[in-house]
Amino acid sequence: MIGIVFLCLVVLIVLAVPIGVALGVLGLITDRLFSSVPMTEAMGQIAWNGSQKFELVAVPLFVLMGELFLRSGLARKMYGALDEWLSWLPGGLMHSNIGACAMFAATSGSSVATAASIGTVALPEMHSHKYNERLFLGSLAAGGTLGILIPPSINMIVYGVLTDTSIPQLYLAGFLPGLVLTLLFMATIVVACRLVPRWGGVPRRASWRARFTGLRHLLPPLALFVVVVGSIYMGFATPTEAAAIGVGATAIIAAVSGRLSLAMLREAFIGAMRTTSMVMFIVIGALFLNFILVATGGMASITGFVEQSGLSAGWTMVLIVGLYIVLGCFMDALAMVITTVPIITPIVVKLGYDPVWFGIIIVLVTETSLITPPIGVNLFVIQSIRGRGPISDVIVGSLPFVITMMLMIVIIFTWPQLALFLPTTFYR
Amino acid sequence: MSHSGSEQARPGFETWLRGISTAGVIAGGVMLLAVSALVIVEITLRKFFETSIQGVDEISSYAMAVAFAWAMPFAILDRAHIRIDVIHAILPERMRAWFDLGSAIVFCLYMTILSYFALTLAWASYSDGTRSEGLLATPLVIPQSVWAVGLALSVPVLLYLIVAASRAVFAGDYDTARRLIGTESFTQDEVDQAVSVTDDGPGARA
Repeated sequence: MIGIVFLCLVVLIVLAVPIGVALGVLGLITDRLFSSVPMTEAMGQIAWNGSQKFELVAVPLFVLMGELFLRSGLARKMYGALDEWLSWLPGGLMHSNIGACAMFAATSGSSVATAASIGTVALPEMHSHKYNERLFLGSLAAGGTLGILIPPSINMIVYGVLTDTSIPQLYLAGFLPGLVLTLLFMATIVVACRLVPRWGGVPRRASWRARFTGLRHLLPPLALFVVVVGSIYMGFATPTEAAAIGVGATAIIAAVSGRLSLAMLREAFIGAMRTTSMVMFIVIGALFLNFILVATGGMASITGFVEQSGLSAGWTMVLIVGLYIVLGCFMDALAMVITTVPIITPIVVKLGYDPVWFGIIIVLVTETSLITPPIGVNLFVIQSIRGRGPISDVIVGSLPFVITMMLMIVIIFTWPQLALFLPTTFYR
Repeated sequence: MSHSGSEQARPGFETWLRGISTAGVIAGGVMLLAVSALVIVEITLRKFFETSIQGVDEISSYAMAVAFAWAMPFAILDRAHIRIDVIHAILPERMRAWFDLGSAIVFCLYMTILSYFALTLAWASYSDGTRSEGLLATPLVIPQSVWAVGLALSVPVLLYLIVAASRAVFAGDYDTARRLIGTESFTQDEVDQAVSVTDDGPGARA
């Protein structure tokens, strides 16, 4: 009977049915084949519970916030201001790419939005200082992935909801790794430009005066970060409420910069709801399949299989991470998380790992998947903004950063405290 | 229905469908914005006036459920739902069109089952008089029925797409079929959309 389920899976993949449908249909079939008492009737209740989970309200709100910020035109000013501070480093503007992405990430929960906003601002500058084109493109694609590691993060919310992990703890856990990965990305550029000096373009140095006058452009994103993330830890807002505050604050910023209009709101609404319905639809399918798997004992046999495989905990984790990296090459990042996390996380927790720590690992492999071909959305975003030349330039340019990300995963494995230090200090 | 008549009616009907579904999406967005405003008021009251509007979290949750369900028809028409098309993408055009059709039919069947159980749930809440456990004690039939109807609207939208796309496939018009139910542009659409909005407005690039 496992064979039938597997056959169905193959058919669903060959037909390329939407992921949410594939999960739901697998749930229906598993129920038919393995349940002594059919549980399909629970579908309505599960779909309703999933649709109205308060924690998940943060997802559409963050998408809406991102859509509003994207249209507020603040990214350009922020980028210019950061350039004044970072241009002296070998690789110049490429450091601004990373820095601006990190900063944008602190106000945005999405990697695509981060790459798109900073990419649009940065790409016209690429030729002005003779940088290596591939490395420059790579720095944008890779920098954009910081969007989901530095809080707030849509992926962390979804992970938290699906695995019953505290979202505030996940946010805190992402903070230091986000900072370290930002620095590692910059180090990657410095090393590359030291090895091949001509990649680094023409060195420049800004005046201290320009640096300080530029600082005011960093205020709006900084204020947003403080409002959205700070309100959670000062104890007067849940992550969902913080997202609502973020929407309000972004709307005010957009209004002040003169970009708020009905047409702009309409576009932002459409963008936000389009993403939301796509995400929620997969969440419902995943919740239903998960329910059926637990009820039919399928989950227990999967966990049992891993336990009896004779692999040590460490090797199982290596296998899991490897699986994610391969899967990530072919699958949309967020869809991959929603689909797999309800099944994989219980295994990992049973092996004795911390679910908050694993959440960070998941975010890191997801980031990798965003810049690995053939399906890496950030690669497409940067190539699309560039609008000429082969996409292989972006792929090759992202490779050094993929290696850096692997290094980061090893670091989190070796020193779990890097992720767990803040949550343990504040919550446990 | 005469052939020429239906030929002309089709694009008109599609425009109408898109209009309705866009209205649903925008209504969802307005609800989200309203939810944000409500939450901000609630936090302010709680923090500074030590009082509270009851049940904001409950209302927000219902708003999201409804907004999500009513965005489904738009998301389907806009082909926003992510599909794993690794194998699909390497197939010849003709086969891909047929598989797209198969995919749409599976999608439609699934939505029919899902909507059926959603409507059943709303009906049960009505006949049992089920109320929420929160402070508001909302009769659950209200949010659930609006939500279930939104989900159920996906079915006629998918049926329309299946009918229109199968006509195209049988006529060998694979471009039209792809525009209706294909996968190819899912990433491209998303990327184009993300990229198009980041322009800093007229004149900014000059």
